[in-house]
Amino acid sequence: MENSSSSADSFCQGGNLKNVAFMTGRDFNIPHRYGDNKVVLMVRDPWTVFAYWEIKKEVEDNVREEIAKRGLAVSKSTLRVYDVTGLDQNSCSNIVFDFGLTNDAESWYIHGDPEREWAAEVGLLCTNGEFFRLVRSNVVRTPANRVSDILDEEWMCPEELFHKMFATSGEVGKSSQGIRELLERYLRKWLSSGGVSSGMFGSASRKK
Amino acid sequence: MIMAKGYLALVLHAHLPFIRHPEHESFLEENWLFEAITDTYIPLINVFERLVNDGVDFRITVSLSPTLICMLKDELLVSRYLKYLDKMIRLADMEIERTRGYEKINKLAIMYSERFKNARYVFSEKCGNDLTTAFKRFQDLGKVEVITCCATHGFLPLMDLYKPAIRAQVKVAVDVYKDAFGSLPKGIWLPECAYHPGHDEVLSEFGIKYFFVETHGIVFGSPRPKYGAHSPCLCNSGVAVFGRDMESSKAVWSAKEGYPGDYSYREYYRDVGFDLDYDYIKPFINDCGTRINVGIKYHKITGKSDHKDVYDRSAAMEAAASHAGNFLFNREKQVEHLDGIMDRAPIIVSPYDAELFGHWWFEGPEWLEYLLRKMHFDQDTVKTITPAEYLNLYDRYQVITPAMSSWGYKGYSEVWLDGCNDWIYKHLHKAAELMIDAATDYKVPTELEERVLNQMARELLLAQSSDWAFIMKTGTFAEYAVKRTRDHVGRFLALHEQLRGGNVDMDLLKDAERKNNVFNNVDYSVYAK
Repeated sequence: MENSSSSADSFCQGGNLKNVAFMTGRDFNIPHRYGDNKVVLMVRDPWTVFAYWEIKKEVEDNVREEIAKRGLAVSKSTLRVYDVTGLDQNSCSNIVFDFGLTNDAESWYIHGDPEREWAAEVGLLCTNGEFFRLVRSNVVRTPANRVSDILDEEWMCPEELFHKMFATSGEVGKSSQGIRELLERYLRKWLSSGGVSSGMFGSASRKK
Repeated sequence: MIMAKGYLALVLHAHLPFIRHPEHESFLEENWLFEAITDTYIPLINVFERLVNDGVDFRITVSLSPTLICMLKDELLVSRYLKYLDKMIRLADMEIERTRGYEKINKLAIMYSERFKNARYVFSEKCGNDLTTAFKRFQDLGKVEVITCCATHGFLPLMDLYKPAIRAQVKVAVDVYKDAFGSLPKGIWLPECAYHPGHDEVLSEFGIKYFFVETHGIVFGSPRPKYGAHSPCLCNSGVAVFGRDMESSKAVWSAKEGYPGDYSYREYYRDVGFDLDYDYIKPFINDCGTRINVGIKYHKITGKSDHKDVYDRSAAMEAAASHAGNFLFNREKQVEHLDGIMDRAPIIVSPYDAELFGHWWFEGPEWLEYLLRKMHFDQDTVKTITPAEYLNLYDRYQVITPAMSSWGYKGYSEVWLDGCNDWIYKHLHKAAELMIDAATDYKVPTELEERVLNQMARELLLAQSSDWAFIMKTGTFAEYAVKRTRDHVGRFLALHEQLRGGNVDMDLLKDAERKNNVFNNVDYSVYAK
């Protein structure tokens, strides 16, 4: 497709999908799977962690064999989520969620709490309740969504003054707790207003 | 330096993803660069020039993303820009003829013609076809602090698992900056203002002194920051972090309450590309015959309905001056208010996408000019400052760990990690993993292996642009963003396989080097463990 005439293959605004295939001289295939055995956690926001995974067939076959050997029966593939805050990162003691997976599930949005550390495993849950791990994830921490209670002695600011910094004139005079809530609500509103980045191609989002 | 009661740090973040298609004679998305140059970068340069000439003292921080710097210096894109400008000059001159007898519109056609001709003069004559030289000049004059951004605007929190990939985004950026400006960048604009605890250590490694976070990144930091977002803090690495100020940001950004929505300002969505007779406008729209915005617009926002009146330039300038006055008045009030609370001078950090100024908000550059003039001549309460200057004001700053945050919708990663774009991370992570392993394995490569490894680094970096995920989310150009992601990952994987197999397809390599020629000095070894 090198040096082909521009009229036929330039990409049209508003999108004519057919033109897309012409954009490069060569169409690259990217695999759907990489033959890995892994589950990855990524933090989306204080309340949401995204998980994606891929399980190696040999690994699953071996575990299934082990389950059969022990005379157990698999109930379902499961994404098991642990809260490992303050624990050994490999700890399995604090199970928070079990999500039953359909065969084609390869990712999941997990809804939890801010300021916690999370780990997950993909595995097979047996009818007797026993769980056999196929793979374990990295550990992630969800961020805080509030003003920290940890204070630095050297850099103390009276509670009232701290919150006053954010108070516009109408709001001054409320109790510090009131102002704190106001600040957190104000921040949330500001962040949800969509009044943020979009560079040169933000027409859709900024359109009046 | 005479202390003011408070300081204003205006930060303009200029960025475009790397879009360059030598395989096509023309390519619509390359227009993003051309429009940004004409609408934003040149008008800003003109503003700085006039202020300097008139002895107005001002400070402003401008981040130029490495992909933007590379495109501004790229021979092919420069020659295409000049062709584009000539076409626009031709159209504007045709418009002057066509609109004779319609005085109001004719005046505007003349304005556009002059703007395009001025753009050509500034771009070629004054800047020698390299706009970065203008920014360097204002930096050397001490007025503009040019800072960097990550190599391809990669969204760092979502590559947290791969530290060498983060290092590469920062190191390549610093190298591009050094080549263009002859010094190390003092600061960095983290793409999408997105921070993850610990990433400051990478910035520290490359000598970067400061970065920015969204308001809650600092306000929700720990321990509690004594001055909120009105003073920088230090991270444990020693790198300073500045928080975005909500109040001043809202005045400009907010779709509802912000200045750019004023009814007397120019309407972006009424453009002669759609309004004029098809045969007349055809040579100036997309080559495939689709109507597009060409950049000549004769109407003002007027109101909420579709009815639009003709744009009145002097009324728009009056509005810009009045909005500048309002902005300054509010900053003075804000500083007075903070002065009663803080025991040091507050800094108000107001970052904006540069392209808002001039491209979306046509009068934005003039608003900025009025603001900086008023600040210089009319008052002493608030002074403009650069972050690096502010850091020199005090000996000590509080140490905190900022909270993970971004300036995207809802304040975190949702825009870039969503049902419509989350599929990309499996591929981006895999490519990063393979790159790190390859860089670690090939410590002493042959010349050919080195070329392949460096091109793999370019393809990985290009695939990581946060722009693709953003565009997938906003929809308009989603197919292009999907295609770009697939192409870069696909090319990366092909090159990797050939490297490992020792059977390099020279056609593929040369084609990739020619098309994706960004970061010509990239050194893959940055990925090595």
